Amino acid sequence: MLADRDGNEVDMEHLLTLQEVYKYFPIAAGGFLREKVKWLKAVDGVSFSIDRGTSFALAGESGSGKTTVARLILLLEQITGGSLQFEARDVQRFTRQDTIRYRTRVQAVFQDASSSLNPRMRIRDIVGEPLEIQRAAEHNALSKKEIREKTEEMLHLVGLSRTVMNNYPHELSGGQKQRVAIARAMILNPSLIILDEPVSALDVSIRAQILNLLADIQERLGLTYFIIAHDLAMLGHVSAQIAVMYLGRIVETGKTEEVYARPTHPYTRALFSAMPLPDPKRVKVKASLKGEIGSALNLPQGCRFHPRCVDAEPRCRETDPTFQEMSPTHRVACCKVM
Amino acid sequence: MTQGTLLSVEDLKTYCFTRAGVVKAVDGVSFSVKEGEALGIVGESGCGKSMTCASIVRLVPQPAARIVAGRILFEGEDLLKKSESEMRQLRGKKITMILQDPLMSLNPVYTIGNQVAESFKLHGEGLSRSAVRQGVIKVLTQVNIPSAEQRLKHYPFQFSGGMRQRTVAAMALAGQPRLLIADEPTTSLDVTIQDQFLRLLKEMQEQTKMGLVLVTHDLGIVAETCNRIVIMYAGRIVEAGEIHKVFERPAHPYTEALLQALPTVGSRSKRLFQIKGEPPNLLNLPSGCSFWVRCHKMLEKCKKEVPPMVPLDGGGEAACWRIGMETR
Repeated sequence: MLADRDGNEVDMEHLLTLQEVYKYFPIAAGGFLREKVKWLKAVDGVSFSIDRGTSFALAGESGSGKTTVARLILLLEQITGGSLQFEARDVQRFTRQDTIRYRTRVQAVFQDASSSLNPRMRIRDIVGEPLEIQRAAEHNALSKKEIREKTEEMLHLVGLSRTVMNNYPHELSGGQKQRVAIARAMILNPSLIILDEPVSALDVSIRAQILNLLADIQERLGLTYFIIAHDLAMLGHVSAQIAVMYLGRIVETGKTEEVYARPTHPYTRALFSAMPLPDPKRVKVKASLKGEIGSALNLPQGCRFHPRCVDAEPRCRETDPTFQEMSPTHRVACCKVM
Repeated sequence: MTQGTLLSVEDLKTYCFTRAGVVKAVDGVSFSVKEGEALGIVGESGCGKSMTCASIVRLVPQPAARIVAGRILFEGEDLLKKSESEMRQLRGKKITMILQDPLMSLNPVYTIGNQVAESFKLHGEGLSRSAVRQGVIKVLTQVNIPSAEQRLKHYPFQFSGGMRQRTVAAMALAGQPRLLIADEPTTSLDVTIQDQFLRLLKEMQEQTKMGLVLVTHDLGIVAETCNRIVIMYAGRIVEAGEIHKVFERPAHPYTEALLQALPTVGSRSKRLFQIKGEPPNLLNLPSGCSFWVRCHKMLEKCKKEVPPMVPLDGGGEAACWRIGMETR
């Protein structure tokens, strides 16, 4: 155990832990004046822990529930069941003060910087806004000048020159805008940053710049990243741990090296074979996935992946697989390995 | 023109005349596509790849953009000399296009059956209603739309992203085109659906021996789908060649840098190779080779003179002053 900035004892290893987290959205399914509710099971029993100072990746197709997990961590949605622990403390038992503090320590960078930056604000106001809000709420006592200095420092950290301070977002390129979004996320000195598809909207030559920048910042400040993406090549490059999600549940998780060396769940294997590689010599195997991702409103019986699985057996239709250890740091939920 | 050449673009120049000045979106681009061949055009946003495609079908956004020079030979005839009504006969029939966002190509208030039928009605004059219906069901089945017959009455919003894009492909294939131009066709799709779509495209192409021009920013997609590749930078082609050659021995520093900048599983905990700076502003291009500002192998000469395309040992061609220097 170690003490944090405020002198509290904290769990050294895990910064954030999700235990059997559920998020169901009610969908009205009945007719007029009839109370009949169906549940959309966006997140259906997800558990993982993120180690301090490392990067944790969550992979999956759209509709797998990965963004909902991010929204739960950001407290933008309330969890239906299970627990979310930050520094070994249950987020649901947070006082108002705790929540405010949590929100400064957990920040996010989204896919499309053009839509996450206010077009009518100047860059210096965008980056300095979190501090301005804190000041208005009397959570800090910084002067205008100090906020300005801090803003400049952040822009410098992300490799932007001071000259962009007075620009508006539309005057910057895609890569510069993403740097601004990173600067804004960094200014409150957070410990966890949620990166939702941080580079997929950028050009190839700019992607490498942003990924290197994120790696530099992480190393210098000891940050923890939670990265959501569908690009397995990129995730393999940046993450230490990975979890693959399918229809609200994690199907395979572990150390990135192990999962990549020995992808075991048919879905993980399918994602790998679908990944386009810049190698014309690679021999394409037969398509290993049928159809499209199902609906979280109408989950299949048994293993939720079986309708698309090429290796499905009759028992897959009946048994909902639980996690099996391939090694202490690699777990898979598939009937075939049970 | 050599045997089997379907499309040959020669020194194409498409400029945009804006209030801020002339943007040379496509500035002297030449390439060709043979029958049954798949050509990948790769480049970053703003490099002119989409404008090149729009020029081939003569659908550049007028009046701002104009094709100012060059020849586009399709089956031996210059498309730039054709009248608008002759072009209309070609588009959607012999040459078809698939765009990035299927929702933009599909009309939300018409049924799928109705919209796919349109491409039959336009080009197969005099087909009976039941013949059109059978044709629509046939192409939809070809692109793996499950229970196509029941799906005819559905609207685009009832289709998933992958199904919409396959519907657009069905419309494109209905006219049995000789040339299919696909501009970032899978950017809005998930990887698994992208894989399914590219396999389908490849299959269709091999069956019908049509030519394919695939525009993308993803080198992986080109490596898996195409026979040849063209790499564009700031309105010009910087390297072209057979894919095995280009991926194994890239000649232009830009191609080399693009390949090295890709994150892979093996690159873990290493720094990625980084191309400095950003894609240039076409209104304000550097003198000489437009890539020199970002190039890691720049010479003094590059700042002054534009390098010509030169043939490479082992096939292909590239435009860089370095070529030939190291070997000689």
